Amino acid sequence: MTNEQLEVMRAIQKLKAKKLPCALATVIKVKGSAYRKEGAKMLIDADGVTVGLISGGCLEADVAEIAKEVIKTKAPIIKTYHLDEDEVWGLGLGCPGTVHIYIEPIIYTTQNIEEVDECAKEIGAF
Amino acid sequence: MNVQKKLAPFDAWLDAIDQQQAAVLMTITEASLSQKNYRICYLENQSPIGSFHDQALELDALSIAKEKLRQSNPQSESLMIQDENELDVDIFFDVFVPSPTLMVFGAGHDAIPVVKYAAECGMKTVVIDQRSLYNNEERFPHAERIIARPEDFTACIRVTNRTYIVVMNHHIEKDKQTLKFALSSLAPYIGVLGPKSRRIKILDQLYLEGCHFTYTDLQRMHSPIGLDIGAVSSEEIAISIVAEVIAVRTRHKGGFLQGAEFIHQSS
Repeated sequence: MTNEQLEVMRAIQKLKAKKLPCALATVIKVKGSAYRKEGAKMLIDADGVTVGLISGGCLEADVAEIAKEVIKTKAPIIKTYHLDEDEVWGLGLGCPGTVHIYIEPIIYTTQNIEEVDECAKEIGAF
Repeated sequence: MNVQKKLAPFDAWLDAIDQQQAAVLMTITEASLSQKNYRICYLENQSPIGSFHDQALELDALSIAKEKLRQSNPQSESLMIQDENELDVDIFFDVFVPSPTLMVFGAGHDAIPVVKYAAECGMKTVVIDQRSLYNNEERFPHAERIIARPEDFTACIRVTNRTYIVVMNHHIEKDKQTLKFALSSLAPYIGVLGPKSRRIKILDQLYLEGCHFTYTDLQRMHSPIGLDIGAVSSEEIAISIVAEVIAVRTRHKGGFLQGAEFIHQSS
């Protein structure tokens, strides 16, 4: 895992501690020369602020918009982008190919956080 | 064990990354849109956390996850697996492995750039040398330092399949004892400084002492050490050594990219 990806994981832990809702976008399938590989992640908070990259900069804004919806609906979705080489070159963007991105809500209620904490305590005592 | 199951697979995965523990998060991405039991977190050598709605799927996915953690440079990917009804199901395997460890035996002046460059490349670094005058914080500020004699290695050094070993004691007897320890460990790479004649001498000596290693054991041994870049200075040699470690981990050959079809190869 790259430092950039570890940054995303730390950001999740931070939002989790504050119980702030967010969404996680993960590249789950790539064909062609899209910039980031499977496993690349971007975290999006309710305001659309992002940490991490899932492409060379061409999909982040769009994914962030969808992620804001995912936070509201609390339902994960899979978003597929087909980026045609010629079209992409015409726009001056550098990531042609097909990318599948899984966007899931990460929402911690007081209840499930307590459950996790309790569990951690029990493991600690073990 | 029941206690652990309460932890959601995703949280178990987050914790594993936080604690630098190898783990695979398996997600049936399609199923997650409509049902529960779509996710399992497998922590290395532990019982899985979470479950799938289908047992055939669960067993296959787990064996893939375990295999991934045995690889030197496993990649995250989506794979198609058949469930109990022989229907294809897409599962995303998100793999986390802790950063590799570079273990350098011998704290001489030429070990300094090796440890420095390896640390800059994100590896954990460990220096082993019984001489505290050489093996100290001033010389190796980023490394864990172990002051130990070869006879104590087994007791105080832990080598895993993610530990890459470099032997550079500048002392043939110590190199021999270190190599004996290294070849009996799980290390996927054992680089030994020195020419081919030295390698033969050490191995012959070990053979006479009754240490018989298999061909597979010896394939992990790289001596002369490093990539062939004509390195002369300690710094150049360090680059050639660290580059070799990276190439072995990613299963690349280590030549010129000029003329190559791909920059990265899949694992």
